[in-house]
Amino acid sequence: MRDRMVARDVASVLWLVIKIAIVLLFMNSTQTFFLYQNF
Amino acid sequence: MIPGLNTDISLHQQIYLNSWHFLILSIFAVALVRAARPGMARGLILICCNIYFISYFMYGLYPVLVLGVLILLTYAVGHIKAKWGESWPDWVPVFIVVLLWICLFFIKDPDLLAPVNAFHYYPVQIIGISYLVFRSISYVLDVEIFEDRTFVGFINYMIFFPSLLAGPIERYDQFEKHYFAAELEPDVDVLAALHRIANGVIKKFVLADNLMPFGIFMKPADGDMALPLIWVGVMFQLALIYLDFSGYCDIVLGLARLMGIPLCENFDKPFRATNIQDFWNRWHISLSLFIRDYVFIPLNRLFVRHGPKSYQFFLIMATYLFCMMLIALWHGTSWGFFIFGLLQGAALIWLQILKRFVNPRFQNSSWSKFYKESLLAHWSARGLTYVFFSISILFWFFSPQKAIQIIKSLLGG
Repeated sequence: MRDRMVARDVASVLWLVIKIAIVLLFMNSTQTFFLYQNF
Repeated sequence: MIPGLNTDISLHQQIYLNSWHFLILSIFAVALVRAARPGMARGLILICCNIYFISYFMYGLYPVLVLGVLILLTYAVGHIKAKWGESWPDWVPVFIVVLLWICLFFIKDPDLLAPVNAFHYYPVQIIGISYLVFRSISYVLDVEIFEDRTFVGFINYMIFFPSLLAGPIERYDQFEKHYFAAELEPDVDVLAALHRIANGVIKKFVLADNLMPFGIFMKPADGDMALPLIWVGVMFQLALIYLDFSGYCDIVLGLARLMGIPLCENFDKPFRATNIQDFWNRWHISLSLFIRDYVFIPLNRLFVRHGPKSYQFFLIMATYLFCMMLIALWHGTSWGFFIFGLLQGAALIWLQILKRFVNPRFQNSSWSKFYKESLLAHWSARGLTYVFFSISILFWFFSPQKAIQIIKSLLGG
């Protein structure tokens, strides 16, 4: 049970790292809009 | 405009949510607020973080003064109401709330009723002013039910930096529950909160920002476009606004959860809505609930108690329309938003008429059974809701004439 939880956490951390990599690779830093800030 | 008085936020340096600056501030805030003892220490640390953040959006003394007056007056009125509120006539809180709404409209649109609008002569730009005023209204109206009220806590509630830019519109009783707790949300799932922030950054800064050119609002108002492109542009805009706003909310909610002061949810899978009422229950939830609790329910209660019985349905329908107009004009005081409000109000009224007069007649019919059980009907309802809302928000971005022209083009005209 404990091993399964550790494995799940490790997988979750890896998935988070992949998300961060996606952000760093594809984030559009030249243009940003935030419509609701104007409301 | 007074010469030399330039309070335009966009001209100055800000803290963007995808900047290292915001990341470092967030890490500091989470670490310090969690490490601080409950009470004054926690309050002062949080207030420093909040003031640091807001200082990047306030320029000159004037906006600080306006914000200070709003905070002081709200706290003072709340304090007096909590003490002597029972002896106040009913119209006093109503008057204060109406006054705050008028102030909000005047600040947001300095040209509105220019001769009597002080902000026409002394314009001021305060980031997230709508959300600040909504918090003021909520605080003044509900002040009797709050258990812990301190001035520092109140300032932190008003300018809590994760939700400063665009909400969600948190209620004070929810905020105080965590803020004054002996331990800030001890069982927080850190990984889940970090995933939420990452999801938000991907939605907002990877998807929304990169796909932005597909939205019809990015196309020049006077340019001609091919029919498929118009359809793509119109249908994309709602998805883009969703990615933009819900992405921001994910970042803010994840950060607030890490800090131990969780905020309310603002979205609940809005594209699963099968009618426009369902949509508003899932889209910008904190605004919908705010309008429901502080405008719709009090007005309906008033009509039920004092209105003539034969006109009650009509009055309730008028309240639906009024609430939608309020939501629409809050977005902006232009004819486009006025028409948007009318469309939303009309859709809600149509739904109520169907529920009251049409549905009972066909309750046991095969058509009713088909509508309730058929997957096709369900998905069609979802699609129609999406298309209706997508078309109605054309009035956000274009003049009524241009929006109508786009709608005609969509139909091949």
